[in-house]
Amino acid sequence: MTARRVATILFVLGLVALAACGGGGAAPDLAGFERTPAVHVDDLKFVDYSANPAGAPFTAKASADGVLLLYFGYLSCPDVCPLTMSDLSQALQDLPAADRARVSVALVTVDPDRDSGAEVAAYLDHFFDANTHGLRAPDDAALRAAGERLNAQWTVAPHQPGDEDYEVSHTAVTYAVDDTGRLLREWPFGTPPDAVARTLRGLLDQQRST
Amino acid sequence: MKRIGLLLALGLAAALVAAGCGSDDGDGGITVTGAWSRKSPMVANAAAVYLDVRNTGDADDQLVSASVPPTVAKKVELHETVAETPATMTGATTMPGAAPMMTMKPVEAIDLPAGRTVQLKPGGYHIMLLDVADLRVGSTFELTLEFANAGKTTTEVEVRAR
Repeated sequence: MTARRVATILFVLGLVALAACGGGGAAPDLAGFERTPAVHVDDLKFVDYSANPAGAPFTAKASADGVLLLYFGYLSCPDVCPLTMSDLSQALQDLPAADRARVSVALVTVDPDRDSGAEVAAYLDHFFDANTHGLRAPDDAALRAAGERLNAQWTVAPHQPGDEDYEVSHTAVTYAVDDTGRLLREWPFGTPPDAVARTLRGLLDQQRST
Repeated sequence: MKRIGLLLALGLAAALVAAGCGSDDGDGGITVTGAWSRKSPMVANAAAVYLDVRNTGDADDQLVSASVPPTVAKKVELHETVAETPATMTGATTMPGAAPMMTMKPVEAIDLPAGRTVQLKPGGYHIMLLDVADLRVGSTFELTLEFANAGKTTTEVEVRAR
C-alpha cells in the first residue's frame, strides 16, 4: 500500500467521522440559556389588547406545540425595543410559514403610565403580521410579580401624571415559553436574527417531539 | 493578457477613486453615508438616526452636535445605548446569565479616530430626535452634523419603517 493510498483512506475516514458528528442528533446551537429549576409563567396575570374583544385576560402559554415569545418593553423606547422587535420579525421571516404560524409574540409594557393597551397592540402590528399579544398587567403588583418571576428588571424614572418625557431602563431579554407555560429559554438583547431563527427552529422541533 | 489588462484598469480605477476620496479634504476628511431613521411606531415621541461616519483625515476628530429643522424635531441629542449591571443586582438576585440593563446615555461627543469608520447603529451610538414630528416612511429630512475639526456637514436622512 502506497503512502498516497493510506492518505486517501485516512481522508475518507475523516470525512465519514465528520459526517457522523454532524448528523449525530447533537442539540442544535441555541442562543441564550435555559433556567434550572424550570420556571412557569402561566399563572401570571396579563390583559391582552390584541385579542378580540380587546382587554381579555391573557395566560402566558404558547398555542399547542408552539412557542410564545415574551418581552418586557415600552413604546417610547427609541432604540432597543424597535431593534429587538425588528430582529425578531426578521428571524420569523427566516422560518418556513408553517413554523412561523406556531410562534406568537407578546410585549408587556413596563411603562403603563404612558402606554395604553391599544397602543401596545398597534405597536406590535407595526412589526408583525399575525400572532401578537399587546399586553398590560392588570395592576402594578401583577407587573412586579411578572418581572420577579422572570427576573426581568426595569427602572422607570420618577415622573408626574401626564409627563411624556422620562427615561426607562430595562433588561430587554426575550423569553420563550411553551404551550404549558414553562419557560424554555431566554436570550439577551443583541442576539442576531439568524441566531434567533436557529433557536426558534430548535425549540419548535423540541415541542413537536415531546 | 487581456485579463491582466482588465485587472490593471480596475486597479487603476480603484486607486483613482480612493485618491479622489482622500483628496476631499476641504472639510477635514469626514464622509457621512447611509443616514436613516426608524419611524417611531405609535406614540414614541422620539426617533433615532443611524449613519456611518468615516474620518478620512490624518487627525482624530469628534462629532460634537447634530441638528434638524424645527419642523422635524424640537431637540436633538447624541446618545449611546449601553448595558449596565444594575446596582440592585447583588448577591441573592444574581444568577447565571443575569442580563444587564439596557439604558440610553446622552454623550458629549462621539470620537472619530483618524482613518476609521464609526457606525452609529441600533444598539450603539445614535442621534436622538426628541419631540419629533410624525415622520412619513419614505420621506427624507436634512441633518446637519458638527465636528470639532471638520466643521459642519449636511446629510439627507431616509425615514424607514423597520
